[in-house]
Amino acid sequence: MSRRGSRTGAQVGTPPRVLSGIVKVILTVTYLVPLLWIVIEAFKSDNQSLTAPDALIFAPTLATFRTVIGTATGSVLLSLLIAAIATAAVTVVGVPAAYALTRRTSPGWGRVIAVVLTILLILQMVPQPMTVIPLYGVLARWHLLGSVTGLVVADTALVLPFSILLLRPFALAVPKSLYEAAALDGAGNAQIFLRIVIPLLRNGIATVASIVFIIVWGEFIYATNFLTEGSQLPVSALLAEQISIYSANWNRLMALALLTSLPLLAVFLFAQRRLTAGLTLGAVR
Amino acid sequence: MTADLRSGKAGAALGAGRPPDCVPTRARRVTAPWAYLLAAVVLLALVCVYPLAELVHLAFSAVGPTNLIGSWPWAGLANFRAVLANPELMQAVRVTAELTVMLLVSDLVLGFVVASVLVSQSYSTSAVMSLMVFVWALPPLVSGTVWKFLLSSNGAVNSLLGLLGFQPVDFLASPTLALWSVGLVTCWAALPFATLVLRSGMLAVPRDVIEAAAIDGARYGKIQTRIVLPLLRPTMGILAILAVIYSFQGFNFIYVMTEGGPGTATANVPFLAYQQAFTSFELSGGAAIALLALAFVLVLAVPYALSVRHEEHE
Amino acid sequence: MRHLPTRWFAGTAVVAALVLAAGACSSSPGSASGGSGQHITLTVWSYFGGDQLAALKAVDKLFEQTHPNVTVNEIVVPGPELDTKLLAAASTRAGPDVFFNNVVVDFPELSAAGAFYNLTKFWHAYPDKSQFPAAAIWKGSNGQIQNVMSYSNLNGLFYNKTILDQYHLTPPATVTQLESDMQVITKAGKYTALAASADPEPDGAWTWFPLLLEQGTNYCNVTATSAAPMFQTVANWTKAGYLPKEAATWTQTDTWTQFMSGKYAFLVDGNWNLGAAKAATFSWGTTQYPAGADGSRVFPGGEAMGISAFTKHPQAAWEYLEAWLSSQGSVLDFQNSGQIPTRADAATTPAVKDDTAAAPFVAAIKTVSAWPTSSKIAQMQTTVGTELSDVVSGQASAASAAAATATAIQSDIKAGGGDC
Repeated sequence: MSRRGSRTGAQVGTPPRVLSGIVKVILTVTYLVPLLWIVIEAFKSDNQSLTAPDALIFAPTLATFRTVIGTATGSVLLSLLIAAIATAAVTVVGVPAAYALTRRTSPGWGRVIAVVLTILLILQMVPQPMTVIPLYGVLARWHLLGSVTGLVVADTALVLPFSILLLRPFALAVPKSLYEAAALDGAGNAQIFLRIVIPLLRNGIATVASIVFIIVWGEFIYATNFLTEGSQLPVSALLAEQISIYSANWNRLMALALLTSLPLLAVFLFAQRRLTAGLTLGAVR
Repeated sequence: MTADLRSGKAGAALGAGRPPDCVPTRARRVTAPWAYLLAAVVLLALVCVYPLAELVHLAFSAVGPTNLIGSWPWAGLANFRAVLANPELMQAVRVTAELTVMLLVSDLVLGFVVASVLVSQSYSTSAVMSLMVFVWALPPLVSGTVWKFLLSSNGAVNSLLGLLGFQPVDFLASPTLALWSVGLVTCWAALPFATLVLRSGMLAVPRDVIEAAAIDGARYGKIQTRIVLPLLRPTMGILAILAVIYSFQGFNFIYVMTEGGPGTATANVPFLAYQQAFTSFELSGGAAIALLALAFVLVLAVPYALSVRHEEHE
Repeated sequence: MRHLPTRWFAGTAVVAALVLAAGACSSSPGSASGGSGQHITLTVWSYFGGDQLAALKAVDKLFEQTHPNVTVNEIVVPGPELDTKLLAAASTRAGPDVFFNNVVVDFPELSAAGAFYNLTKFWHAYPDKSQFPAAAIWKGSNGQIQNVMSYSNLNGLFYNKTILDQYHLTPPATVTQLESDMQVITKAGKYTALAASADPEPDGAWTWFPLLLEQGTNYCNVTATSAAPMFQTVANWTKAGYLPKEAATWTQTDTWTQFMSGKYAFLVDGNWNLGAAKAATFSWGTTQYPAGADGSRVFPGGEAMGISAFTKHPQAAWEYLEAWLSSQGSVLDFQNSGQIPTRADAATTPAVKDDTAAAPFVAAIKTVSAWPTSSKIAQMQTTVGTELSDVVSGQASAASAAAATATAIQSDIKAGGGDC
């Protein structure tokens, strides 16, 4: 019975071909068409985008890409730095927290879990624009204003409740019997966590980490307010700059969006490699 | 399925090589893992509590365009009374409810279907999944603008309808259609996320469970709904609550596509709060609306938090 | 024996090190302090893009030529975030040296937050001050001069000359003439008559309120009766098909895109697009906002400049403002961005005088109406915009919109103070 890890999937348990095909076609159309519009727009010059943004037939040009690639490169590097550090911080802090919220070791702790979950949900309801001014003061007091560190701290705190809530179901998928076995063997929390839970959480960590990376990459309210003035802008702020109350450079916006989203795709594909099916299979027999 | 204590991976994980008949004198009861929660609690307490406290303070004060900096006069419940009396709030609640329902159905139902289709590992599923994630990663400013162009009166969708002989449709100009348009675009934008999360959950379902069911004669639909779906209950639960939170807190596509219009047809509760606070500078009014939304989600969150206790391991 | 989770500590240590290293990598904020003679950096915040940014850079260069010991550091902040950033900085008693703000919406708030440096003594010592109209100077509630406008952006009417020529129409000077022109075009059915913004934001109010200004009504004295004509006009024009229903969600950026497609005969827009208009594939022209009973009247929009209350270089900052206020600076601004100088003698320079497309806006600036100084001006404009959007989309009748607007504005006036 060694069909685990088979690349093409088992014969059973897969959707019927027809349904699968139809769904994939619909998805491809609904997600590819807007992407094509973006690509088309990116190949228009400033004038073409201004006078005929909806035109499908036009003389494409690389001028827009040439204009934006200089600023795009610097922004991408900065965003990579911010997102990588924030994602690492969220993972390091969030994974143990998610684990802790799945272990009902006593009724008292169970009550703690309920309270903490409620607080995490509340924290997500605070509108982000309204947190800027208080956080600005907090970061200033800690002398973290204007630095990447300060921004990372703010972003980590922003995404942490969401990440913990999202990691929890993955942590819950660890079978209870493993905990019982480990307890009987005399293992403490640390051993259980490191030797059993973490390996089984690889799916969850990879998924949530790539989601967090993408979210932090796109975050621009804190990025605009908390970074050093005059320094390089991250991608999110650079994109927002293309629209002012007076004018909009659609072609540049779309070209920048394309160029600066490619690294995200790379990160996602890298994380996807780590997802394997049927991870718990070998552990319980 | 029973766990074999010594020969399975569990035993190996705890240190192989122990003689099989050496049983510890006392089975360990694990202590509450509070240390694991510590870093998260400290960080959130240091960073998030102050803004939340300020939000509450704002909602109970009278802060308007002229006194954000300086001392805030106490207003008691006046802001809440004013907000509840505002006819725009009822409209915004209705809009939010409709958008929430759309997002829930899309995330949970469509998400499940699409995740089921994309769970098998093949080149086509990888390609579709990557396409969806790439588009999801685009900022709402970009994807919202694209749809605004596509749905405009002389945009691609109406041109296509024209070719097929239909009249142009006011996707963004008609009050009812605008809400559907914004809602569908939001669902479209959120679907990759729901798919990604559900798919990861599905990949953790042990294959032998599915194979056993198939051998017993169950068809695909039954396997998915009777076996896989129940196993995904925690994931569906968290997706549902996150969808509700997003609907009561996010308004990116509304802002980009219709600015809450036409009129107030697409202004949801968080948009109303934002407009009050940052366009009109009625910060206390905006904070009061945000706090009401928070209270509403809290009402949903408490039963959720209590119900998930059944999910936890001992 | 408890096994220490070394890998976990290692992971945490690595992350902590990365975070600290990132902090060390970035430079610390703040401009170089310096006395006279030492090199100083002036930080200027704005939300400019496109042509306006080009104008900013041109004036910066002009300033740096006469002030070799000063470098101007231009920071562009996305529009919606500029206020928040200024207020956040003010709350920690910090800020840039100079900033541009959308004066008709943000001034009361920024002024009350103490973000502005007192310009009164600078202004009184300024030799050219008589060149500027009273509307270009903005005072805080304490009587201090806090904002100055070296340029203004106004609404006017753009027309597609290619279309007008097809139907033998001349550019309209009054609202009545505009209506008859639009009737001709709509009847022919090939083009849409009017692109104008009616979105539920200050943009919508900005576009349509001049109809009331031209009948002697301002925000301060609006009533259900006096507000009705504006809403009735909008309702009529939508019903007649002159104005598309989509206008209910169009910003002024959207209307510009629509007009540039060449399918619209008229557009209510402003001088800031004169540069962008040169890319049009059709021939076009401009006139003043169509006149009503009291002639053609619009509000002066645009940005004003202020010095931050927390600047370390007030004198240098004021000299920077003087560069913008100077004749040379004003003309440079105009040439780059089409923004209309507020100083009187700029109108007589050849660069401005000979620009036929800009002429209607230059003329309009002489007869602008004054903004009320109420602190609720942003809320009032949003109310008007929302009601206009309701009327265009058919969700409200003109009468009910006028009544709702009047009620809301009257209570805002009571609450907002100022000169209303």
